[in-house]
Amino acid sequence: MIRKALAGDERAGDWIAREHYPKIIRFLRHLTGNLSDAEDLTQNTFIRANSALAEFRHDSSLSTWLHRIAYREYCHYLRDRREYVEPFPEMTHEFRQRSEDAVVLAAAIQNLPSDLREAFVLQEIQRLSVREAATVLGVPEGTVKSRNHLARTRLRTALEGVWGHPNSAESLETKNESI
Amino acid sequence: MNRYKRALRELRNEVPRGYTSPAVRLVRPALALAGCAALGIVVFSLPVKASAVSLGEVAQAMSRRPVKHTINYDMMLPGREHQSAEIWEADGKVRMGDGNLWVIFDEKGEWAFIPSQKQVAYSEGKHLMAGIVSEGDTLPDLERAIRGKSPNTTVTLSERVENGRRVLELRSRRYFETNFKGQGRKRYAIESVWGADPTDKLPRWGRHYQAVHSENGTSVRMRQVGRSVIDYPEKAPPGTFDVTVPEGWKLRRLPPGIAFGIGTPSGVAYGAGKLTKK
Repeated sequence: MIRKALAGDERAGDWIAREHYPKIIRFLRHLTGNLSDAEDLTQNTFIRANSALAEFRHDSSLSTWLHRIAYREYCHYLRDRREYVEPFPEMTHEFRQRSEDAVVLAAAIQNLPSDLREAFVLQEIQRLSVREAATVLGVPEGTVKSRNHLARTRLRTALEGVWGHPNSAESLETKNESI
Repeated sequence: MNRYKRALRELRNEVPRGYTSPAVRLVRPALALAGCAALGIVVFSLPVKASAVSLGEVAQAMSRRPVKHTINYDMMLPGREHQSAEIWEADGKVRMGDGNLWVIFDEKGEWAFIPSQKQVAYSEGKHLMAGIVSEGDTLPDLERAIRGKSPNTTVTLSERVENGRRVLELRSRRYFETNFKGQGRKRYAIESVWGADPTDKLPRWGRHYQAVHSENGTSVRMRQVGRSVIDYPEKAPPGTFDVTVPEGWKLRRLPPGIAFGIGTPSGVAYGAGKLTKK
């Protein structure tokens, strides 16, 4: 598909964009905390990806490559943002789409420090491997693991305040489990 | 499965609500709604005459990007003549051409959009504040639907004069709080403002805001985060969105799957592209 897109096949390019659009906007939405900015950044991501497709070296999956571009766009967005915006649990129509628990979890994720949030979202929501997440973030794999672990610890603390103390059988570990 | 895992699974499987394949084409002649940033839009495409520079590919838009800025707009009664749109390039500033055309630009560059197709959207269900409207709602209908439904929502309906025209305006604001352990209590606000012509009271535009805090947290203002336009496609005559590319200008297509909305007084049309001088 990539070769076809590079050869100017618009349908191939369209397919690539469609295939990856939902996961990229989901990723950016969790990083930015709001759908509006996520849509802008997703747009920028695919514009850049379209321009840089010829440079894709197949040393990672296309998904990882797109996540990396998206993450760079997010970093530019953080740098350029001039005003402080509280992490904002989207209210309006999201509550009709998400269950209450999902809204609570999304808000708790938003309240994580950005480095922990990024590692958590990439691994736990986007389901990237440790190696892929490390490639996206540009940090060692050990750093990704420790940030994700710390993120889950903090989430547990935050969620206890909302859901109550989990019983001993419940945990935030999701590795090796299919959900 | 515990609550956390269920919630996580839900977040993992989320897709944009308006995400739809290009094969889906629904024609809906009735009233339509363009939602705010938080609402995914189901995209419909109505056939219109192709422009000299065809933007038929725009029909393959995956989702709608909310309009961030506009420089001008006008509200017109149904049945009025709509002029053809023209496009031009902005060299650092946005310039208006003939016709009732909105130009959308962002902080990073200049964009002009050619309306080549009309898109309408709809939403389902009722709501606790005026973030969206449903088919057939007038602003008084919306006001009645919201008032009293939630103690945290305030709603006002008023009429004022804007640019010499009477405008009916519905404003609703909703407050809510979170109180995560370790984070403390935080209060948020979101607001939507809808405007209509007082003669038919049908909403035509909306602006959507969220609370923004200053860096030191001492002051809060509402920042516009989205804009909606409602299309009444049965009112616009054929050829409304015909466009002419000015001599010496050309259109460069954006990558497939990305499209933007542009509003006109008769509603919403979509195009994609960046204008450059030949």
